[in-house]
Amino acid sequence: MAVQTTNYQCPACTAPLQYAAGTDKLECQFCGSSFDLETVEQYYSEKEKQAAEAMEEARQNPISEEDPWDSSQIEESWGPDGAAMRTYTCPSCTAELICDETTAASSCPYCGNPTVIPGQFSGALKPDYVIPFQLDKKSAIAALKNHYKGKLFLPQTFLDTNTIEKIQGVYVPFWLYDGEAYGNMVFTGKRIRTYRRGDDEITETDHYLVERSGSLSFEKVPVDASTKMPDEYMDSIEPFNYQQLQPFSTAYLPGFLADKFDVSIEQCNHHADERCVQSLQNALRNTVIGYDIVEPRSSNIKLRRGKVHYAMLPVWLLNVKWNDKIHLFAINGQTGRVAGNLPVSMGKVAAMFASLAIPLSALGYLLAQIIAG
Amino acid sequence: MKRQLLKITLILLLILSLTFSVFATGEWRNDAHILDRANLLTQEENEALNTLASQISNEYSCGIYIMTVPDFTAYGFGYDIFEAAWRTYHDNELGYGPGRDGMILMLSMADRDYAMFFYGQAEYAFNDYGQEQLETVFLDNFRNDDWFGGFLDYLETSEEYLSLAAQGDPVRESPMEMAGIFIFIAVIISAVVTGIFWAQMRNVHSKREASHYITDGGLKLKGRTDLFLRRSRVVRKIPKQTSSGSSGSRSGGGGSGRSGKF
Repeated sequence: MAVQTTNYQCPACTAPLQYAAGTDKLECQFCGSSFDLETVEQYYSEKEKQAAEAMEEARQNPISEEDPWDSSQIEESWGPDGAAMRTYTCPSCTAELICDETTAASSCPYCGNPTVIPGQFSGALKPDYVIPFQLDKKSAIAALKNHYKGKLFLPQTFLDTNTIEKIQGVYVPFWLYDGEAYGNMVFTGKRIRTYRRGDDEITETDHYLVERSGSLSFEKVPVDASTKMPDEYMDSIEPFNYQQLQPFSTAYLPGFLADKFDVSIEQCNHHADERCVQSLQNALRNTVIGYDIVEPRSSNIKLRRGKVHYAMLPVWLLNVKWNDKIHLFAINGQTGRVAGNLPVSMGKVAAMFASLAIPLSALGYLLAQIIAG
Repeated sequence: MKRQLLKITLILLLILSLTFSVFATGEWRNDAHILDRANLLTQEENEALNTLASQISNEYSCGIYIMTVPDFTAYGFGYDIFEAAWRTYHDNELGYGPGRDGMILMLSMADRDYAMFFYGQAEYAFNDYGQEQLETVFLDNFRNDDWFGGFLDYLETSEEYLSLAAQGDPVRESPMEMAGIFIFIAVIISAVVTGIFWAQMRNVHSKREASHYITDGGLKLKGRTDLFLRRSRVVRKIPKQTSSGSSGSRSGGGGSGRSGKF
């Protein structure tokens, strides 16, 4: 069964509205009109209600046909895959589209109409926050080009022939953890003093037992809640600036893909815990000063877990094709920070190594000759 | 009273000058190359070594000398045997020709100290490496109280070195070993620099900490203990084997050399 969808259409010309990155407005690409989020949300909440009622009525009173086509051999069931699939109808061109159950906002591949599937973000599944995109597509591409700069080992052919196969703005679901880490750590510290007395060199080592205890509070530690997104990429585009966190509204979604979470809070706990514990350990270690050698002996860190928030954070995903391989880049849609492993030209690596090693070695040889007399 | 004081001063000065002159001029005669004040050699050994030293000196125009003393500190040159050797060489105007080219080996038996001093053209034949190599040929003899054998090795090896220097091919350290070390360091530096640039190509990493999300106020440190447990001490003898002199650090003559214990 098709799912009801919302697409924000321009009240003036009915063309699709898209969220304009870096603003609080939805813009019509066709007639140039621009509307406040609040205005559009009010306008469409009424429309959504009417559409839902219409769908319900259609479901209860289907059109009857006296002599229907024989479709008995067609399987209605999608089998085991069906549970993970959803269909929706594009309100612009009426195409029936299939996507997986976690997709919450997308665009129609036939007419390009941006669509939000509101059921995905209702009730308990509704995110608390969203950081709207601050970078538009052009800025994201510019950030990627900028990322290439100064990379000496980047193959020249990559710069000349790479093509951006796909670029997609995605609101990625994140769990944001509040909490506190507390506990203590024990270290051994050594202070070493070397001095000379007569013909003897004396090394004195003072051994200390060092203990530190304390606590650190954390606010909104993000952990990627989507299996589609590679966790390391999401970690690498941090941090996000929470000053721009907004209460969630689907009005920010048109024009971008949006996923709902498919990794539970419990599944993400471990990563959040690990990050908080490690941060407190680092902070306690940094207070152990005045020693020549410090070695951790034991650590007893506990967590006081607080609230978990659900947020949609903006990420540009770019697939760059080069040499028949796809290179994935993720760009923080708020700060422009780029994460992605670049291809390496082994020729350039060898050239740099040789250009350093050969003259340095020659210099070393000459120096050896001079020293040897 | 004043006269008495003057007399005492003069007597002291006389004793001092006699002491120095004994050490300075001692029994060095024009043809003497060996001065065995510690009586380590027999008369025959002394003569044999003196003849050989004389021949080498004349052949290569480079004075070659050996001196043994019971205790070099008794001569008022402080506690540095190298300085004693240096002073002996210059105060006695040892050496060959107007440039006073030459070298001396001094042994002091009290604490088994030795010093070598090289001057003028001898420094060309025996650079730092040459001096280091030379001492290895006689030190093992001296450690076994083989005085004649050690002095003979000293003279014969010196002759060999002087001969090579005369041919324009003085003994020098092979640069290859040191070059190998330098080249290894160069390769390491190159690899590190290359590695730094390579690391820039890969920036996808899992985050292990959450420092960006620490609330205002940061760490609340509640306990802080630094408890002293104990003090350990390691004593290491500083080897004196490789002390060396240089023209820059010695006034009134210059030269270079090595000193140590055997």
